[in-house]
Amino acid sequence: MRHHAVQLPADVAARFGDHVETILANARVPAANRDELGEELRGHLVQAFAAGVADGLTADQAAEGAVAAFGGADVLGRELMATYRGRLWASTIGQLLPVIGQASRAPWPISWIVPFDRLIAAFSLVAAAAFLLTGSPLRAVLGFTIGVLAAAVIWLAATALRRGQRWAAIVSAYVCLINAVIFFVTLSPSAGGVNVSLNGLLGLVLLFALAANLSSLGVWLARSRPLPSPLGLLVGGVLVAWSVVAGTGGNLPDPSQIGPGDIRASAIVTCGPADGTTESGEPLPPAPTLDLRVTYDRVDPWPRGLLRDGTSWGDVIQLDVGRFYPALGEVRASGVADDGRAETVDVSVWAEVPAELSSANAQDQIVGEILGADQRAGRTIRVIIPTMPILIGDGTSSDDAPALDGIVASIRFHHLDRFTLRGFAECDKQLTLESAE
Amino acid sequence: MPDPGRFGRNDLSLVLLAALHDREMYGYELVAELRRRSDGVFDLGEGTVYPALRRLERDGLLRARWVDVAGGPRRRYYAPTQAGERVLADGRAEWRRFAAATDAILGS
Repeated sequence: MRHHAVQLPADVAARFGDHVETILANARVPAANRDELGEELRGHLVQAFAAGVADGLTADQAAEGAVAAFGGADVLGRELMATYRGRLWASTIGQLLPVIGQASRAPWPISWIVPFDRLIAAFSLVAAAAFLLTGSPLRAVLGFTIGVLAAAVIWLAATALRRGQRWAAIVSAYVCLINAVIFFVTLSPSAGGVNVSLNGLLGLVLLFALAANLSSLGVWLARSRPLPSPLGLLVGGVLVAWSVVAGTGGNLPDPSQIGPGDIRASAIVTCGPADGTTESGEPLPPAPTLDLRVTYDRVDPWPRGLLRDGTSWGDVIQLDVGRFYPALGEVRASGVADDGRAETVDVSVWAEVPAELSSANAQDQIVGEILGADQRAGRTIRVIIPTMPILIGDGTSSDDAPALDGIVASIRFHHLDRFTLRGFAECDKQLTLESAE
Repeated sequence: MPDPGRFGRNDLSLVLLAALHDREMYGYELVAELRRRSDGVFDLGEGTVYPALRRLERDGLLRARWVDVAGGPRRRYYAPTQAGERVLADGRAEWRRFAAATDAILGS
């Protein structure tokens, strides 16, 4: 083996250094092996260069020949990655992150989009954690998995974009597009201004920046190769799933939670004389009393996730009683287990009284809540809610409290906010509660 | 029974072990030697030997040492370990059986 003394020009040394660094970056070589492997690869290039010069080539030709004979940085990087990190890693992460270009030569929008991608990846991780802790079982698993996968894909895309990968540019454009949509969807007036999604605004601006720099981006990405189909489909699938979760706010159907067929609700409204008299001693007009029975054949497992206990959610009872009956008499609530044992159930009921009773738009309601903690499979909860008229005018006559023909009652079951049972009953008639949108 | 898949085009291991069996060599020298001994058939992308060398070293079939060189970058020389020699001997025997069987079928 001939030995050639080496006089390496500075630009050639820099070129070899860049090539080796690119290989090592693609290979993700462990730090412990990185320096000596780099030295060995540089040594090979230097020797090939010296041999070329000795054969009469110019320095440029010799350098060009040494790099060309050595092989592409992406292929070598992947082979080395397989050596140090295994074939599985090399066929996934190794496909996503090969270095095509020097980050310092990237078009300017890249330097903004990369941190934006990382911010969105961090948001996605936070959302995933929130799903895990506060979602019903299927939502928790789906939301967490999709959120983590999307965070990983978007984070990798940020890295790959700096390296000149076309797939990463597509992912980043998609992330900007989704955020731009969020910007428009959430844009709404508020007191003294408008509500603006900052990440949505950033996404919109960056989308324009990408569109305005398409030609320089095209040059930057020109040498990038498409991802293998299975990997491309995986990346696309994760992003679509992430969009669906983001678009629905996580309100995905969850078959583990109960539906209208698992709850039976019936009620009767009686309209008897209300307790008390007017100031002039006249009896009050008849006031409706709702006698509601709700039977749970099945209950939700962790409808609001592992983090929240049964007292933080429940089913809402809502009575629309007209503008003159928002007051309450004594509320009585009890539970009956499926074996017939009577139980005490604490049901919260309160009146929502508008600030101005005379307001034409006032919606007078009586609202109650059956807490999740009180719901048991097989238990019937009975709630008796009397209403009381509020007198208007001078309050001396029963005419000052117009009688109600009946009331509209609805129960909004908070089981994934999926359904409401509603019905209208006239006085002394059975109230049938039916599923309503 | 010989395993033809073992001698796949991308499996350099046996070739590298055989080349290094005669004397220890560094990467650049090894590439040139393979080219010379194979009469140009093994004209590899020069960088491709390094993943294979590192893999053999990781698997305990090669050992490596750095040697300083006056006027140039130091070199990393490779030589088979005892385990590498055993793998080489087994591989040679297997290859010869495979080649003989192939010859018998193809004829001369």
